[in-house]
Amino acid sequence: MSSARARRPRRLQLPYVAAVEATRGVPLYAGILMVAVSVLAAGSAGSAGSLSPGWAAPLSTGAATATFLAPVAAGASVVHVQARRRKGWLDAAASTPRGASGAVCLSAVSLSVVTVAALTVGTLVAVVRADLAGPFTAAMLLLPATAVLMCAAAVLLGVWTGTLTRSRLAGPVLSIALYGSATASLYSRIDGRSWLLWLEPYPLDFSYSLALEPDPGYWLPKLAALGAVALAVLLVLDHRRALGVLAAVAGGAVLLAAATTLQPDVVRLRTPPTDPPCLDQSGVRVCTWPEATHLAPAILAAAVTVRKHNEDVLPDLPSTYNQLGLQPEQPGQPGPVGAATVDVLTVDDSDSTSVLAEVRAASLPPSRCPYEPASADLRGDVVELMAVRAGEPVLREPGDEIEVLAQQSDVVQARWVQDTLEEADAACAARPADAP
Amino acid sequence: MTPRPRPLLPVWRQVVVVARGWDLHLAMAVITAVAALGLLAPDLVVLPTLTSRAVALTPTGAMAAVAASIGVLLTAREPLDVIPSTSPRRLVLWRCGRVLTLTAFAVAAVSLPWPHLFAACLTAATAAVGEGLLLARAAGPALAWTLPVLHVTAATFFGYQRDGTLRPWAWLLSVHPDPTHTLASLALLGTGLVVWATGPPRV
Repeated sequence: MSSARARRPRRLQLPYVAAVEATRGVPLYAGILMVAVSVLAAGSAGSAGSLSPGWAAPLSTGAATATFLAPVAAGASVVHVQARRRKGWLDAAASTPRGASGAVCLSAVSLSVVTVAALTVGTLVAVVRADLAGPFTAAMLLLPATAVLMCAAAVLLGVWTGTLTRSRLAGPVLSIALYGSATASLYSRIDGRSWLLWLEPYPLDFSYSLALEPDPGYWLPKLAALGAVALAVLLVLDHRRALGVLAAVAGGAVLLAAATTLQPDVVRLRTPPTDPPCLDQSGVRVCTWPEATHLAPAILAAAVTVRKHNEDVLPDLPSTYNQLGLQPEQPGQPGPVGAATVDVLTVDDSDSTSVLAEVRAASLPPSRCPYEPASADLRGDVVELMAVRAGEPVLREPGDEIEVLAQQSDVVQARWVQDTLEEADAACAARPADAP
Repeated sequence: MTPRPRPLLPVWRQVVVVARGWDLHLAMAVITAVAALGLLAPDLVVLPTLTSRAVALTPTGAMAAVAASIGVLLTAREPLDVIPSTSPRRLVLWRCGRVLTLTAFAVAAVSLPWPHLFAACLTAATAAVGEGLLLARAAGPALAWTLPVLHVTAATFFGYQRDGTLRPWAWLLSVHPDPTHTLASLALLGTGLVVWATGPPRV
């Protein structure tokens, strides 16, 4: 019986064939390059504690490596399929019952495997270098899922391009076009056309602090659209063009419907705890996220110092400081009187100067237009006066307005502070739509 | 007296055929197109960076130089691997001369729109060609462009430190590169040339 089993021809399974395909030729070399560069990039991003605590920042960093891995993977796919065709492998496969599409799809699988492997290694490097004491929520998994689908869609697009053209320029041109799409949409968004955010392969300029997580209202439609693109190309490669066109139209419709009906942001505030940990001292209260209680003493010390030096010129100093996200209000919007939102998540608690600077800025009344440069400059002058009053060295020339003002009476300083803050609010009239 | 055999093609046609075999026409077209596009582009661009809190300015000339280096690397393959192998010494000279001439042309063309960024263009182009030639020896000329493209795109996203300065590995995006950066790029080009030109020709 055993001899009969031994004589039975062994059927090669897809994972085995894909693994063999992925470890030779173009996929092997492209994979080695992509792993090396993603490790270098993700390692650089996570150096010196630059990532916020929690899982969102390293997962986002790892996923962001897909913005340069996917274009190169697409170009390498073009090269791979063209080489297969030039050497006659596709003609040989076309003579089999399954046809050439099976061989082409196998090329796509092998290149997807190496690209996702590079993505995974880069993400692991970012995760290892990050402070994972922060939160992990299910919504954060949307980041690597988007990156994987983006890479798969790019590889399939490359494979399809490789079947269409023999041009040696097709690979690099496709790579540069995909990279350009990742950056061009960002330029367009600066003009205020926020719907172009939906066309970005991966929104790059969003950082994830402890209080933030991906907004599923934005990421789920994007995930569906990317999946539809990948499915459409796969169907076209399998000679089911009508179904492929249908899938592409469905993906576009999902994206269009989401862009026109939903108004989500890329990030959203996490659900705050009902009873966040707080510290009290000298009439000042500091509340932090449970994962950031180690920052509370530094914030509290800074808040007490700010109150001690400035209560004569700023009578409405807040009595409660909440970390970003612990208040129901959005950052930058006016909150209840006597409460200030302090975002100190990006500073190290040993860096007391940074904490002091953030507490000072948060001690002012909420800005009506935080992104208006004229308003921000005027508020910066007030913060600088607070620093001078505390005796901190400030990078100003001797005889500067702030230096002179700090030597005058508290009444004069208080009037100047009030006038400057009113002027800062008046500057908001120049920018009614308060968009970044 | 035996009549001298007439060549199949005039000499200038032979030159054209050989040049086409090396894709020189395609390389020149790519380099010229990149330089022409450069006439419309600004000197410096602000690209999305993930690791910098300051505004990071990237020289467009350096990006264009890397794009032009793709044109140079197109000529890294040989149309035939049999005939040139019969004279290996001249083969090495032809290969080095071809790539060096095209690299010089690419640097000159890309520097035209940004003459004050000549050092940036030179540093980026030579580094990109050097990297590409090293990869061409290891993985074949068809994949040679992937390493410079991967390097420069990764550098635009992750190559900046928090204060906006470049990390050492992203030197090819320097606006005003140090002499050490330029020397490193030239050394990379030299190494790539030697490694690639002494290797077996690949079609």
